Amino acid sequence: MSVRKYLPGIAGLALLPAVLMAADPAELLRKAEMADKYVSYRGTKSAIVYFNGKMANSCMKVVHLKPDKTRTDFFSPAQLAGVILIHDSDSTWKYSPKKRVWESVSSCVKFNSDEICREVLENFNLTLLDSDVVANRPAYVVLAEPRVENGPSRRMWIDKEYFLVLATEVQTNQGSVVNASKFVRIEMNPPDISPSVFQVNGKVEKVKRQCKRFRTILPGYLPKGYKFVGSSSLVVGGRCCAHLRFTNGANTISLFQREYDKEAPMQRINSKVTNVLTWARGGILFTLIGDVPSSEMKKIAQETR
Amino acid sequence: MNCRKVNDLLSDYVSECLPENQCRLLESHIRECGGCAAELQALNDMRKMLRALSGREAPVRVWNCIRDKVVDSPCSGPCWVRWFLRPVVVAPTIAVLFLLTILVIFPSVNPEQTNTVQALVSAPEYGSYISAHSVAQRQQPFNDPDVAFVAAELDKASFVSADRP
Repeated sequence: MSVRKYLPGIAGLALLPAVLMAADPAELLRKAEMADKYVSYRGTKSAIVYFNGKMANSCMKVVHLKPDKTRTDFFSPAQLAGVILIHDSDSTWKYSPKKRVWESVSSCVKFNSDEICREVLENFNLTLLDSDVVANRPAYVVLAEPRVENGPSRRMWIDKEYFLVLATEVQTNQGSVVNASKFVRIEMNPPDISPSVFQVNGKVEKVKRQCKRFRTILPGYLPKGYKFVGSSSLVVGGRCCAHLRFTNGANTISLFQREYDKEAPMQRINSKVTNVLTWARGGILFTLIGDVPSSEMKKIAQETR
Repeated sequence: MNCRKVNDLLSDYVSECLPENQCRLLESHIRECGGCAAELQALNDMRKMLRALSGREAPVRVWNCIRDKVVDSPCSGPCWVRWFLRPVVVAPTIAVLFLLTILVIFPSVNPEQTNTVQALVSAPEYGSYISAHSVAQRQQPFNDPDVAFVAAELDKASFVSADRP
């Protein structure tokens, strides 16, 4: 009789750590990073990207089979209609309807998710904002605000049951949206996802993968919070190229280097979505890409020698 | 047709240079308008009187002299000034000068930001870089991988580059 009286209280106490853990934004972030491994899903997603001074809308169908197979079919915008992206374990393939060919998307060394989460916690203040509903599913809303710079803040809507990221939003510190995405409709663990939809069927573009090594140069300066996380090589137009990556946990700076026999001053490429600088020095052509202020980009370029 | 219009056309009418339909209109006006009829009469009288005067043929060399003066005469100022004042030359020159002025006053392109860089990095090369960058970007939390892909693909599609040097 007396045990039954205290049962709800005991049960409540037993569940308390789980409730507290789930509500911790850092823990939510860690779970969100791993969610793909434990849940299959099929849904329709919409995304908006700030492009060329206006917002470009994109609509896509996403199918994911746990632990690591994802297929995305793009319907819009017009430039992407018919494009298919298949990610299978470590390889990513893109189907171009214009060329009617599959091509391997340059892959790079996978980031360590624990390390990335650590970087996020170091460089961002995480706050659990509220609960929300996305695609008829209850979700936590986590806000990440940069600690060290006036960079963009980020929001993530995380499914309360499977910890899958249902929506994202990146905002400038003035409050304007840089990009956003959200599932409009999603079905968790549907029983009828066939592994065959993740197969690359048809003509495949062959790409030279081997390339000779050459000396790469690390920049002497990086914006606060950024760290060198790895390098990989890719073949571009038959030439070997090194891809050095730096991250603050939420944003990447890429530095590409390849051999070049001339000198050229620092110049900016007219990218519509990010900052790109290129220059040639000491027999190397450098191309720097990153969503960081132009002044920081210039500093990195000047200190890469 | 009113009197003013008739007055303008009378000379052509008398010289038989007026189109037929205008002749008819003019004649119907003159039938009803005494003033214009008098004007026409005066013009016809003067024409008859002038015809009655004895004419004198100009010597042939007069016409040659006039032609020489008009066509072959040396410029009375610097010739290039006259050449520059021709509308065919003046209009494009003004347009070019206007555009140059606009470019000087509003330099929309920072010398550091010029696209001459496209001579360094071709479109396919830039496409490969932006793809590789987006692959790295998509691996991080708070970044939707599909958003990174869409941004990269739009950027690639919009990037127009000159061929490599």
